[in-house]
Amino acid sequence: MKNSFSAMARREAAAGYLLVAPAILLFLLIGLFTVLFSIGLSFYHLGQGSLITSAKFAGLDNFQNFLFGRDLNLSRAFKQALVNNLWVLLSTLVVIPIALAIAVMLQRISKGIRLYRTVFLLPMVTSSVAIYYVWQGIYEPEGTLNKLLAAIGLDSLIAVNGWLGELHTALPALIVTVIWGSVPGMMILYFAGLQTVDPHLYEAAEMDGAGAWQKIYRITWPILRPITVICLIMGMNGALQIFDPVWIMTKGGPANATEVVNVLVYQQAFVNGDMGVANAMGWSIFVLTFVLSLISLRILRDKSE
Amino acid sequence: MKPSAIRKIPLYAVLTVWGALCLYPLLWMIGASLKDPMDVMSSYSLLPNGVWHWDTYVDVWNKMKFFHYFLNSVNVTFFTILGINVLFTMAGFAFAKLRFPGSNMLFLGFLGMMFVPGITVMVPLYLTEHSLGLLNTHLGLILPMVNGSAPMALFLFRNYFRTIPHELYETAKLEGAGILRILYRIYIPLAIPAIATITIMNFLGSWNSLVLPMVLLNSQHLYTLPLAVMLLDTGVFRQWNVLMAGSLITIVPVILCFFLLQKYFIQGLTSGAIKS
Amino acid sequence: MRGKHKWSPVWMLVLTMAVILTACGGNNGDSSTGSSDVKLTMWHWKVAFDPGFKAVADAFKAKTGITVVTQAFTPDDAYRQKLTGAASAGDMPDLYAYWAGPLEGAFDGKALEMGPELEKDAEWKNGFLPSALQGVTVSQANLDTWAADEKSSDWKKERKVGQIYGVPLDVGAFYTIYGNAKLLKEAGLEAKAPATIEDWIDTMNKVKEKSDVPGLVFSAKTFTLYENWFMNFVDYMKNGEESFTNFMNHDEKLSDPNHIHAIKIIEDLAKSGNILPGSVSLDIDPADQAFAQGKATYDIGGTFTYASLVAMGMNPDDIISFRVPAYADSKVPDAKVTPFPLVQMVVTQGGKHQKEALEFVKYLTSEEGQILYANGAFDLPAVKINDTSKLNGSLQAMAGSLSSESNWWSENSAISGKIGQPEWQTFHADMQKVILGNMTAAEAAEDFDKAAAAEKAKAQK
Repeated sequence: MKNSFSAMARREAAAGYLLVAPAILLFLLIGLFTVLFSIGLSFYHLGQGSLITSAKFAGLDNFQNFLFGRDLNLSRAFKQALVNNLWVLLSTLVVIPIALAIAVMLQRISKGIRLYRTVFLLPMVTSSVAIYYVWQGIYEPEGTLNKLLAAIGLDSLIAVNGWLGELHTALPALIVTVIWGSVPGMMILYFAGLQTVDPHLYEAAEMDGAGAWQKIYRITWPILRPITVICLIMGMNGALQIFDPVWIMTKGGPANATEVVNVLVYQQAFVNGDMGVANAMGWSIFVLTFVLSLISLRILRDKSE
Repeated sequence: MKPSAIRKIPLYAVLTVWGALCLYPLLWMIGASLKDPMDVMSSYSLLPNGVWHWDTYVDVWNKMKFFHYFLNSVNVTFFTILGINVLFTMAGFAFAKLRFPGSNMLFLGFLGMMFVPGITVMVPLYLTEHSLGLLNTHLGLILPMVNGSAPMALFLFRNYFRTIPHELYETAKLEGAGILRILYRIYIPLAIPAIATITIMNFLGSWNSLVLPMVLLNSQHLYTLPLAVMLLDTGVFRQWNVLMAGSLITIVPVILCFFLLQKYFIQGLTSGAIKS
Repeated sequence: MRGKHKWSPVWMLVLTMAVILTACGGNNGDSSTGSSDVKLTMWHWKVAFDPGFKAVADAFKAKTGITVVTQAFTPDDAYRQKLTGAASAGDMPDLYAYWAGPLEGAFDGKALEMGPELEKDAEWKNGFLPSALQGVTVSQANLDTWAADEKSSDWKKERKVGQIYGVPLDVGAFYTIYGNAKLLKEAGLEAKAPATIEDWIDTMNKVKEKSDVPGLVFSAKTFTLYENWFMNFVDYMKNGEESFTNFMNHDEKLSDPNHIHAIKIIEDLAKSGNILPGSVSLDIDPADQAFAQGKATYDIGGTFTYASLVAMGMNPDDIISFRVPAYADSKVPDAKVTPFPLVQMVVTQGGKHQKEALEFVKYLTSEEGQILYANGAFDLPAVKINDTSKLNGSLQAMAGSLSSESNWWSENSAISGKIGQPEWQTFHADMQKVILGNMTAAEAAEDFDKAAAAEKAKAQK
């Protein structure tokens, strides 16, 4: 009995490796060298227009430059960028309930469900670059938002320099755009999850005398939990890696009010030509995101296992 | 029925407001594409003042060799999605159902790839592809895109396979079915919702991808649609109407595709829910 | 509903391989190896310049039979990434355009040294405007900067004064103010260049009073636009060579009474409502567009701005332009702005067709090639044009307005160029805060001086 069991286990393990192998091979082919190279670069000095072969070993200089004030200006910029990233991260906590609420509401209606769903997916479908330009237009000093506020008599709320142009409104305005863009992806995940719930289960639970909360806890939540984990990790990664909307809409301005780490990374790498510091920053954020994701996995872990 | 219909009015109201918010930027784009170039940024009315410039679309279509770039985009996107679904249903199943030493570490390793700073690795990626002879090929775009989607796809597939009752697996195994047969006969048909979701998500990423093809492709005849749109951005200043018209031509196939895919998406969802 | 298809993993793999091979095969499109003619590949990043390059390439083909294929990659950052990758991988195009400047785009020796070639061909060398050639030549100040920078490669540090790795393609100049003649006349003022900055601000106030149009718009979003298109030259004029050099080297402070103007003028203009609201989030083109639409009386620009303004629909009769004015108490109020190269052409060292590529660059930067290029790209030529009537109208006018004599300013671009260093990013952010009224000029100056001191301490380490 024991022998045949271990033979089966061995066969199962072999099958496991076989099934994972193509994904691993692809990573070895395309990802590994790229990643190692990039990590390596973070320990080198590499100036503007220099060849990678002429990089000079820098030890921990690059990390000290932006983390510990060896380069005062860069450290200041990095700190501000990180704080802004964390604000965007907090916004993820808003996106998830919105996405869930819309998914639930969408599931409740009977007519036009398909039309609504199609429309709700539009922010995801419309090409990102073009849509950020549109938002820029909405936020401009003479843009739709200011005109709307003027029309309804809320002149005191008007952002004279545009919503992306004032120190205290730029980041919130940007975050609204980010929320707008990230709801559909999460909404459709929740919607798909809710669809898989067998309505008979609710009926059965009702017959067992379960209350509304119990139904949610016992039937809905087990389906929604893994989805929430995905949304949380996606949102966290999105928040810490945010780049496109900031780069297109504000480039980190005004006065660094919307500076985020990836914009700083990009500027260091491709405007200042300092690949070393750029890679060091990029990988520091990698570590941060990774740790935060592990924590959220822990918290939302499946307790039945 | 009546009271429940009335109760649903606020529901519809909220959803309609959200729908309007989702729709507005697209309407703005359509309006901008039909306006006179000078009119785009000066007026915020959605509709053009006076003449509707349909001719912009004709110009863009002729200038763009749209069909050629469209085929390029289809090529890249199709094979990217195929690759993702083939590779990661297999691996996702293994991580969800099979016990093998190191599986957790491997899974976490793949998950960790999600956080790889995509922007900084661009130049190292260029060098990797150069040494593999993949530069300036569509395959050179497809492979990193497939690889890049590993964390999301694996995570979703693994989680999804885990929600399918384990008894199914045990029973099939007792009946003597091989593991691969179990995967392709039982699990894949049940995983269609997950496959549909992954397909939708990666379709967009691949279709709209800009920086990757920009860095990795040299020959114009290999360009994908977003690069073709960028070719429209010529002249001394940005012609908003032309750019928006080009963007819309790029978006329309995606919207159509979504519209068509939704049906199968729903079918997939329902068949996934019937577990008998 | 089990499907009848046998989805065996083997089939999946076969399919995947087939897919891979198909995708691979897709790129064999246009490798025309049969032709005996040389085909050069040229990369650049300015789509607007492409017609200019194409015109020259056509003429070159007619002359020599050599084909030049031009490829534009945008935006700037992607182009930079692409070239950096290509240089490191060793598969560069035969020739490419790059931002002009000593050793720019030379990638530690991947570029052909042009100096000896220029020496061999006196006619070619002497054709260039002296200030254009100067802008791409290694100077002692460059070497000093590189020596002090821990990130500079050894190759860079080993260069010598006078070396040239790319020849200028075009020229342009900053420090140009554009004014809206119509607005000025409507306010009952004369549409002419002001004598001093004080006069200039006075005019802005008058227009603002009469018609409520703010005095100035510029892309306050773009780093170094205010700093390098306006402010450094004003400081040079006001304080002269020595004090300006000290300021750039941080031996004199921004909070010093003779340099505080650099930020004080921003505070004054912002307080009097003379900076167009939203300027801090405007890019260069939208800022020019706002000016073209009459939203502000003046616009900070460069020689290249004129073409944009006209293309944006502004009536040329409504445009006046003048060099940035100097303060009344300036030491060198009549300093001449010299054109400097904006783009340079680089030939890949040891490329398969190095000789032909060099030949093309020579043709492109000959008088004949430059006329073709300039008219096609709407760009100012980097060489002396004897028969300016061959240039189209507004190019002629602009070329005529520039001084080609070399002077202190053009010879010391390494000093004014320090404006791109990190401490100036602090200045730029603080300047935006001053515009928005969230900071005073005095606070901004203090903050900058701190950042400058830190940067100086780092350089001395």
